[in-house]
This record gives sequence, C-alpha cells and structure tokens, in this order.
Amino acid sequence: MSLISLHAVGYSYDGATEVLRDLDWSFEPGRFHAIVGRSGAGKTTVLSLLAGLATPTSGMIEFDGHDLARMDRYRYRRRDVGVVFQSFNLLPHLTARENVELTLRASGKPIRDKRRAASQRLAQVGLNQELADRRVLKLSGGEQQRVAIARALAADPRVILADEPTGNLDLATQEDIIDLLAASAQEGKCVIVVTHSPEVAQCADQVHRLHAPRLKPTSRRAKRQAPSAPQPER
Amino acid sequence: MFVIINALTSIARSKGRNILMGLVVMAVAAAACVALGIRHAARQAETDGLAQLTITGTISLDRQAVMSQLQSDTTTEASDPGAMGDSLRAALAQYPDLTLDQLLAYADSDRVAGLRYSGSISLDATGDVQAVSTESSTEAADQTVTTGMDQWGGGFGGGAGGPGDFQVFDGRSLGDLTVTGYGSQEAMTEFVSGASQIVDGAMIDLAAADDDCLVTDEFAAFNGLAVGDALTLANPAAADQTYTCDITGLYSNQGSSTTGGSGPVLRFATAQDPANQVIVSYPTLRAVVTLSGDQATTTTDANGNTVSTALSPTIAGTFVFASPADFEAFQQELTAAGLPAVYQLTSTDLNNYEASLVPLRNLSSFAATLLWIVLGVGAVIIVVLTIFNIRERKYEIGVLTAVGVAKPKVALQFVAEVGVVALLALIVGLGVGAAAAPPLADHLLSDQVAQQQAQQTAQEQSFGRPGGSDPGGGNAGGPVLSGGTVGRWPSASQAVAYLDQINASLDLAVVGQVAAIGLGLIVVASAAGVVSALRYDPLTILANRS
Repeated sequence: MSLISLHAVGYSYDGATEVLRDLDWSFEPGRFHAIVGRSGAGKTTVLSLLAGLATPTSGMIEFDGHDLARMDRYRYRRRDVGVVFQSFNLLPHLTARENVELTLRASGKPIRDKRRAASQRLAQVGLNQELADRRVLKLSGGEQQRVAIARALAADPRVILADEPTGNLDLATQEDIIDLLAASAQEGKCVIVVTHSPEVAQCADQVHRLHAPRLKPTSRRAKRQAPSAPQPER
Repeated sequence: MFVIINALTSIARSKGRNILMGLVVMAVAAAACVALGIRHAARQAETDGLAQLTITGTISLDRQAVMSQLQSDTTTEASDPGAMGDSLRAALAQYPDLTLDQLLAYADSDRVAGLRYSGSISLDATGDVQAVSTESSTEAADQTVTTGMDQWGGGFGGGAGGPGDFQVFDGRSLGDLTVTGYGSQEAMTEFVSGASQIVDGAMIDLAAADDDCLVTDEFAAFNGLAVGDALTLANPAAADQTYTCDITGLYSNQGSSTTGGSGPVLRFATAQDPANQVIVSYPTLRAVVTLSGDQATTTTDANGNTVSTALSPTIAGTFVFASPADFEAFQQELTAAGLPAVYQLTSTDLNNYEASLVPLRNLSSFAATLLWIVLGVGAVIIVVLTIFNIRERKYEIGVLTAVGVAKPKVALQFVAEVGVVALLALIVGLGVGAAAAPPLADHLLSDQVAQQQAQQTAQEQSFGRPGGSDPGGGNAGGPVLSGGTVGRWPSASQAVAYLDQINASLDLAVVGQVAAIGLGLIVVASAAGVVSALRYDPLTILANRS
C-alpha cells in the first residue's frame, strides 16, 4: 500500500522546458527509496513536487489517497513531510536547537516542552548539548546536515525527503547519515532520498531511476539480478 | 502564538534595524504630538477667545459703495467733476443715518442680544461758561449771555467757529460742547471700560428726562462749576434757544484735552475735545431735540438750500451678539429686511479679534505643514525600511514557508514585528512630544508675534509714526460725529493685542490623533511588508540560495 504515488506526472518550466514526463511511481511507508539520475535529470524537481513546493503541470500526486494539489500543502509540509534540503536551508542566525524548535512550533503539534524535544532530536542525530547551542554557521557541514535531518524528523512526519544528503561529506559522516535515514525507514517512515551516489542507492530498498526526459523505477531486486549497472529505460 | 514568539525573537535578534525603525516612528510621533498639540491649542484658544468676546456691531453707510454705484450708473457725467459731485451729494442724501426707531426695529431680531444706543448733539456754552479750548478762551468773554431756566433764548456761542458764528458739518450746526444722551449703562462704554469714572456727585438716571447732566472734571474746573450748579447751553443755530441742566456729577476722562496717547491731538472743533463732553440721559436728549424741532425756523441759504435751526442728533447704535454666527445671520436678516446694500454691518470686536489671531493662525498653519511633511517623509522611510528588511530576510521567508508556515502567517509575523516596535516607539514619542510641545509652542508663537509686531512697527514708521501704537481709537458709545469718525485723526492701524500664549499640553484628543497616526503608519508599513512578503515563492528563494 503506497503512501505517495505519482500518476503520469509531468513538469515543465514556463510551460515550455519539459523536465519530467509521465512518471508513475509509488512510495511505500517503512521503506528507503532512492531516486537516482544524472545531473539535470530532474531529481530535485521530483523532490520539490513530493514536498508540495511545486505543482505538476500534468498528472497527479496522491498522498495517503488524497490529491496533493487539493490538500492544504502548508499543513502537509508542517505535519506530514520533513525535507532535508541539499544546502540544508537552516536559518544561520539561529542555533541548531532553535532551528529544530522553530519547526516544532510551526507544526502546531501539542508538544509541551519544545526546547527539550528539539534537544532530544538533535541528540538522536548525534549532536550533543554544546553543539545544539551553537549557531549553525559555526557547525561543520556534517553537523549542519545532522541538524537538517533533526529538523526534518522533529515533527515526526510520515515522509522524509532528502536531497543529496551525503553530498560533500566524508565517508564516515556519509555512513552515519545513511544509517540515520535507514533507521527512520525502519521506524515506519517513508524515506525518499535523491542522490547521485551509488553507495546511497545501494542501501535503498527501492531505487527510482530518472533519465530525462523519461525514466522508470527499478527495484533493488531487479538491480541485483542485472548483470551490470542498471540502465534507465527509454 | 507561533507568530508572536517568532516576532519577539526576531525583534530581539535584529536590534539595530529595529532601533532605527523605532527612532523614525518616535520622531514622527513626537513631531505629530507637537504639531497636533499646537493646532489643538490654537483651536481651543480661538474658541475660548470667542466665548469671552462680547461681539458688537454697528450699521454704517459705505460711502465708497455709493460712489462706485454712482460711477457705474452715470457714465456721461464722469468727465465733469462738478456734476459728479452734485450727483454724489444727491445720492448720499438718499441714504440718511438710521433713526433710533429703525435700529430698535432691527434689534427685535432673535439674533440680537441687545442694542446699546446713544444720541449726540452739539450745543454752545453760554454766559461765563466756556468750552475747554486754548484757542477760544480769550474770545469767550464776548459770548452772549443767555437767561432763563428751561427755555431757549440768547445768541450764538463762541468756540472754534468764533463768537457770533457757527459751523455746519454734514448738515448739522457745530457748537462748543457735545451733549450725548445714553440709553443704558452698557452704551457708556468709556465708563464700562474704566476709561471714565465719576469723581464727584452721582450718576444720572438714564431712564428719566429729568434735565440732569454730567460734565468732565476738567470742564468744571475750567469754569468753576460744581455739583448742583446749573449749566445753560444754547442751540448754535438759534442762540435764543437755550437749555439748562443740573450738574449731578463730575467725571474724569482719560482723554486729555490737548494730548492723546501718542502726542498732541488735532481736532477741528472744540466740541470734539473729551473735556467738552456733557452726558445726559437719552430721554433728556430727546426732549431737547423735540423742543428744538418745535421751535425751529427755516431759512434759505445763498445756494438755495433750506437750513433749519432744529437740532438733529447723531444716533449711534451698537448691536450686541451672542456669537459670530448670530452676527453673520443678522447681516443676512438685514438684507432680507430690505436694508440697502450700501449700509454695512461691521464689528470692530470681530475685526480686532481676527487680527489678534494672525500669529496663532500662522503658527497653526506652520504646524499643519510640518505635520504633513513629517508624516510623508516618515511614511516613506518606514516603508523603505520595511521593504529592505523583508528583502534582507527573504531567505527566512523561504525556509519558513518550506517547513510549512503559511505565507499569511509569515506576513503576520512581519506585521507583528513592525507593530510592536512602532507601538513602543509611539509611546516614547508621545512622552517626548508631550514634554516638548508646550515650551516649543510658546516659543514659536512668541516668534510669530514678534514678527507681526516688527512688521506693524515698520509699517507705522513708514508713515512717520514713532511707535506704531495707538491705544485710543474708541468706537461706538463715545462722542461721534456723522460717519462714525472719532474725535481725532484716525491712525492707519490700531494696536492689536495679539494672542501670545497657548496651552499646548496634550489631552486625550491629541493623544488619540497621534495614536491614529501611529496606527496609520503601522498599517502602511505592514501593507508594504505583507505585499513584499507574499510575492516571494519559497522554491525560488531556496533555489537561488542553493
């Protein structure tokens, strides 16, 4: 039973430049999904569509059986989906905890001690109290990525979207981040990661391959059976 | 709650920007306080002044209007000055002074609170009694002595015209003394104002035709008269007609017989000298005039004009009004009642009052201009600051909307930030404005008054008058000759008592207005903020940032 599904989704900028065409994908909860593809293939665009930050120019995206275009997408982003942006998009003048706390407050969820809850989320992604009280500009790239993940997880959403979460990180940090996301999937969340990293894709339960202008999803099982690296269908 | 917490956090975080915004709002609020305080105080002072003002008005003939009317009607005679003069005299003869009966009829209007009236005639001194005059004193011995109580007889008196002769002014004979009959105490404005006062004896009964009179202490001393003595006066046109009254009191008059407030006074008749004023009741005066009419004889002069010896009083009627509105309404009523347009209702009180308000109105006008400039500049600065603030924080807008905060909520946060900062600044600005308004208003007003006075002094000096001040210049109720000219050369401008103090302290009305201005500024700044914030698309912002 899919949580999010794309039905013949297409997207074009300015009504002229077609980026996506006829995407028919589904994403189940409790699984780690990877969307892979070359640069410019439209991976980040798919993530924006899934986050409700953009609207398909054709087709439909369903979330939990509802047309996303007809839903309150602010509420959807506040409560149902957590996004880890490629450039983190943290507020630089706030501390790590304040960034997480801001999302908690925005979610409107009845959490009494939001400061404590934010600290717990940060601890969960490996940031101690001292780091939590630092402004994010004073944190390393890996630490900022962890803050971004903590923020995405803060409101306990059902979907986690991550755009190149391991880009520019060292190998050890990459593994930590992948473990964090995989753990979230094991907790029942639908984790969707956009990546061009084969290592990340290998860890995914399902890989959706994007090759502009058209692509088809391939399963990890199919990939394993393949004699060589999977090629996107044309 | 999310909005408030975020707004307060943001205010605390961006101290510099918010202090700048606060200073602008505070300056606008303080300036608005001062400007509105001045305008409010000016209005209040004007209203209070009017409430305390007794508005009086007199009806007089506008000769200029008669001349203009005549010139527009007669084009062929314009080239002949002699014919024009005859026409003008004939035209003026059509518009005689209003009689007391006419004035009383007009005074029946609901718009009129009262009528103060007096009548004046000119009579000659008789016997050893002389008018106070440095020129005529040596000639007075030649005057004809009249005899008899309460009867007319004797010859012409002396005075400015010399013994055995009499002057005719505006169709009336001029004698040595002016006898004025008052209808009420209120009409005796010199006594009401304190310029004249009884120094010996008692006031006459103004309601009785009892032949009692008051003379000036100067006149009494000049002629050795005292309270209880009889004073016999004669008709200057018929010396055999005499009238005797009993002196019941002596009064002092601030106006000297030889000097005025700003130096020697020129008079063209001794009867105009304040020392030569005899006061009787109006009924007494009317009795004299009636008697004179009964005994009048007429002659024809060399020009063919008929000249009567009958005394013709000059009536001075002053209407009293409760408000300027009544004054204006009465003007319309007079026109509706058929009074020709060449008769004008004028009010010296209102004119002087209007003149006294010039500096205050200048200041009020300046305050209004200042207010608009400050509001305009302040609003522009605040809008620009808000827009820059939001442009600077558009990344924050992108992040907030990306994590699900609705755009209206984000915009509301900016509104709340502007509102809190502006509210605090408004309170401080009100305090600063309240403290600064009274001394600043007094200072600015005194500057305006000094400016007006300097202008007036310069004007007077251009006319060769040293100080430019003429505290005299009485109006209705005093000795009046035809046409309303007072007994001295009129000054080009009278001294004006400018209103030079106002209370610009803030009251609830001003505070409310400043609060409304502050609210307006907040709305303007918020509108700019909302429009600015709503037009940003989170995806575009974040993509650009990436």
